[in-house]
Amino acid sequence: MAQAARLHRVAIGILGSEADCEDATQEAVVSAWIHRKQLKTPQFFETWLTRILINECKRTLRKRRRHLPASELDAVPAEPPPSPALWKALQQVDERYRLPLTLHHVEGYNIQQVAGILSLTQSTVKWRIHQGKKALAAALEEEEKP
Amino acid sequence: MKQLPDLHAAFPAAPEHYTANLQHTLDHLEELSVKKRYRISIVVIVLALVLAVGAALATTGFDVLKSLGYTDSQGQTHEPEALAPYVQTIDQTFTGAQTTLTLHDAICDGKTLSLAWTLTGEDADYPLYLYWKAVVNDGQVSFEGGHSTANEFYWANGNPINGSLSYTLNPALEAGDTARVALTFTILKPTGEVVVYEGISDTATQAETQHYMDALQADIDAGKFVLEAGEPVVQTATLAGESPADAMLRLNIAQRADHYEAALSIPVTGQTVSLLEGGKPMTIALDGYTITLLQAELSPLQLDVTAEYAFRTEAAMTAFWQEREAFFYTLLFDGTPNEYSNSSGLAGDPTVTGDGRYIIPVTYTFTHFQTDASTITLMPESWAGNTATTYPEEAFTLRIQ
Repeated sequence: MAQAARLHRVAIGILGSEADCEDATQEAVVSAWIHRKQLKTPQFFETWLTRILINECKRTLRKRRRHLPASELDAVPAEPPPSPALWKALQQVDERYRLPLTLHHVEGYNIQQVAGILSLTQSTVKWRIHQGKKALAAALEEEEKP
Repeated sequence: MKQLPDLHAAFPAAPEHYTANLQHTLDHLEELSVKKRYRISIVVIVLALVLAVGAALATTGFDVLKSLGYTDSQGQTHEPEALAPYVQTIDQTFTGAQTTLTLHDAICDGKTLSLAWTLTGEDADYPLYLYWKAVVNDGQVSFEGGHSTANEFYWANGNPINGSLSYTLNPALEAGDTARVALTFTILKPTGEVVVYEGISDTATQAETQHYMDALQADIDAGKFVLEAGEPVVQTATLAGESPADAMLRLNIAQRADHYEAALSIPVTGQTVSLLEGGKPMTIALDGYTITLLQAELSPLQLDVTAEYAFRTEAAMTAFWQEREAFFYTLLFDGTPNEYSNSSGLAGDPTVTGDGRYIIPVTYTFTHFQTDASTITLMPESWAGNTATTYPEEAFTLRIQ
């Protein structure tokens, strides 16, 4: 499916765990189906579904923190990404900055779309992307140190 | 200039079982939506109480300087020792039936009030809800903790909980003023027996789902405090002007464990100085636009900056905004970037003012920095694709007096 890869990247970027990704995606898709009449403009379906998925992933994160010991919280994907070092560096970026950064630079949403998905102003999105890039650059520098 | 790699390489491909599960979901939407609707009808609002920025489990020795500190990339913690002269000791302890609250110390520089506290509770198997309210100078400024942003519970397991309040005072207080703070802390605990449900599996049969929902509802009807997958299942909504804690008390979902009131007098320490020479705005004229630094005020806890980019035409303003993917200020101390200062603020959206000017306003607050430097430089920065770019021609350098 065309959407599957995109939904997977959004979910794995937040959750890091494949099992949680599947659960969160299913919850999001079902929720979108239940509330489908709230979507007045069908061309915004993709960004609307992305927003639902992000909210579901955050709910999953909150539940996970309550039930897992700290040592098990740093989940990694079962399938290795092309650049594990880049994945690791990206995970060190605060989620507030990582999410707009990946929505814009990986999923290709423009600033206005990212603002709509995350319910932020465009200026705030730009600022968070900026902070995300700075943090990622710093994390990559650390990764490269011997 | 910094370069970032293609971020697509950070993400693994979607595994086959993920795609298969998604297809299964799409094929069984009606059946799955019935199960979910039942759960949604029970969970209405998650009400809990937020502890302040910096809340953490720790042992002893917590104070406001620790709450304002930071951890560097080597894991070393740093406290803003330069703020030590401005710390006001409070050292008040309140002991209730089930908790003990200690207010340690505070700093008030007129623009920001930061206060550190520690709460300890008895070792018990129920969660505590903490809600606070502070009214400054008879209502001139008031702020509350936990207001509508909810979601944290603290299990009363005997470990101390450190927290801090840090709020902007608007209007600001002047040097020589005193922040008279009426502070209340309300600690609630569940009214009924606490019951924890782990959530229901999506592979559960219709009969299993029904049984689960019946049991959950029966416990709610019996007045038990139900947690499902770590979140409270409560049916409640706050009335106008009502705090989440008030709502929980009104609905008898929770009861007061303890309640503390403190009347604090925290003098404004330190001074706020303008870094603009003579207090006058500074202007940089460039090709097609002018930048004016309208305000640069330095107080012990922060640096507040207000600037304005003004353009001759709307087209020039729009073109500038589109060309700059981002617009931010970073701080340089004697020309060296500062790694650990926090900043919050933004360039506002391009605006046509009532008197026909085309401007982009910029408002920034920098906190958590210490410096012995002679100058601070406000350096605009942006990203063009994956490359960071600074704009030295737009930078303002200010002398620290």
